[in-house]
Amino acid sequence: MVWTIPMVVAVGAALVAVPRISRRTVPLGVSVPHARTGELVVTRAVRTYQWACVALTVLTVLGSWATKAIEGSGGLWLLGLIVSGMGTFAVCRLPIVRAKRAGEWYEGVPVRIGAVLTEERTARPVWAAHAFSLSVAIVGIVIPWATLATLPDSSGQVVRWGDKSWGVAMTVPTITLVVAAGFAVLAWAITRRRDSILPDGDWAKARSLRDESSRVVQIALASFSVIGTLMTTSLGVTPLLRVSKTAADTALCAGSVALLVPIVWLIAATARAQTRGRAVTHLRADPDSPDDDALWKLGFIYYNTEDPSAFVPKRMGVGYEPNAGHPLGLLIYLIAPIAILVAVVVFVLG
Amino acid sequence: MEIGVDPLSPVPIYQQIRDRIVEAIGDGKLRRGDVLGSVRAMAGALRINPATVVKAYELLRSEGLVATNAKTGTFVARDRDGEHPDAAFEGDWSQRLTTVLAEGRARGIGHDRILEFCGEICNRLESGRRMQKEGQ
Repeated sequence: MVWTIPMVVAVGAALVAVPRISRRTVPLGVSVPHARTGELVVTRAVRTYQWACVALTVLTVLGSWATKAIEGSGGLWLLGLIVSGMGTFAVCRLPIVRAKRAGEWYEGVPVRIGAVLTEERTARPVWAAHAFSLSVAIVGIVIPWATLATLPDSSGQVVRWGDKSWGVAMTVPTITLVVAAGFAVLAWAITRRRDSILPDGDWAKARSLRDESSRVVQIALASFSVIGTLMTTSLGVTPLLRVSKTAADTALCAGSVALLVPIVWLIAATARAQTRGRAVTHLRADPDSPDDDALWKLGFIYYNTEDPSAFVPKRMGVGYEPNAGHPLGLLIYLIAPIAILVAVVVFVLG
Repeated sequence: MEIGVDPLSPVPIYQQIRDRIVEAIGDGKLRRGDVLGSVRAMAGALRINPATVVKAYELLRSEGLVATNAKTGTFVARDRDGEHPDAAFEGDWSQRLTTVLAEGRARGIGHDRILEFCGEICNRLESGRRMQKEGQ
C-alpha cells in the first residue's frame, strides 16, 4: 500500500535521528565520559550508523513501491526496516564498546548518579486534550448504541465487517475508550514519578533537560490520545454511517499521516533539547554519568534485577523503558513481540 | 531537591546517601517535616538495591535526623536551628572533627589554610547555596 511509504520515511528519519535525540554521553547506547564524546571512533560509528539507516530506508521505500500491488507488503517492509535498524544499531556500537574497554575510558573519571530526594513539581498532563479524547470515545460508543437497531445487516458491504451484532459494533469503540482512559492514567502516573537525574557533566543542565523532557512527554501523550481516538472512533463509526469504502480508507490514511505529526514533533523537540544541552560550555570538571552499559543489553534493553522500578527513563529520546529485570517489565518484553506478530498476521497478512 | 552518589567511590553507597541528607539538613535545604523519597523510589532512581536505602534511612533514624510513620513515610525530624544538641553528641562530634583536622595537619595543610577551609564550609552552610553542587 502506497500510504505506508510516509510511515517508512518517518521511521527511517527516526532511526537516523537516534544519535541526535540521545544524550551526548550515550552515543549509540554506549556510556562514554564527557571528554571522550569527540573521539574519532565515536563520531565514525555514529556516521556509519546514520548512513546505514539512510540506505535501509531508501531500500525499504523502493521495496514498498515495487511490491505495492501485494496486499500487506507495506507493513512487512516497515517491520523489516525497524528490525534491521535495531540490528544496525547493535552492530555499529561495537567499535565504541571495544575502544572504551581497551582504553579504560572510565579509569579515574569521577562519576555520579543523581536522584530526586523530595517531592518536585513535574509537567502536568494536558487534561483538556485527554477530556476531549474521552468525549470522542464516548460519542463513539453512543453512535453504534443509538443507530445499530436501525441499520441493515451490512455483512459483505464493508471489508472485515461481520454480521450485525452488539459485539461487532461495540468492540472497537470500547477499546478506543479504554485506550483513551489509559493515556490519561499514564499521563497522571508519569507526574508521580521521581526520576533520577544523570549529571552528564552539568547538574543544572541535566535537570532542565529532564523538565523539558517531561513537558514533551505530556504533550506527546495528549496528541497521541487525541489523534488515536479520532482515528479509531472513525474506524468504528464509519461502517455504521454507511460511508463508502473509499471514504473509510481515506479517513484511515489521513489519520495515519496525522499520527506522524506528534511523532515528528516529539523527535524534533527532543533533538532541540539535546542541542541546547550540547551548547552548554563545561567550565568545570563535574562528575560524569556512570558507566551503566552492563545494565543495558544491546544498548537499549534495560535489565537490572536490583532496580525495583518496572519502568525507567529512556536512555535515548524521551519516555520510559521497561526493566527486563522486573517481572512486569519482563512480561512486556515477552508480550510485545507476540503482539507485533499477531498484529502483522491479523492486520497485514489478513 | 536532588542528591548524588558516586558508585565508584570507596565510601559505601548507604553512607553516601546518609551524608548527602545530613548535608542537606545542615545547609537548610531540608527542613523538619520534609518528606523523603520512599525506599523503592530512591532505590529505583539510584539503581541500587532497596536494602541499601533502608540501611541509610535506618542510620539516619538512629541518629534522630529522620523519622518514619506509616502515613507519610520517612521525613526529616530536625531543623538545623531547632533543638540544642545533647552533650554526648557534641563530645563525639568534637572528637571526630579533631581527627579530621589532625589528619589535615598531618598531611601538611597549614593552620591558616585549615581555618580558611572551615570558614568556607561554614559560610556555604549558612548561605544554603549548596543546591547546585550538592553531593560533590
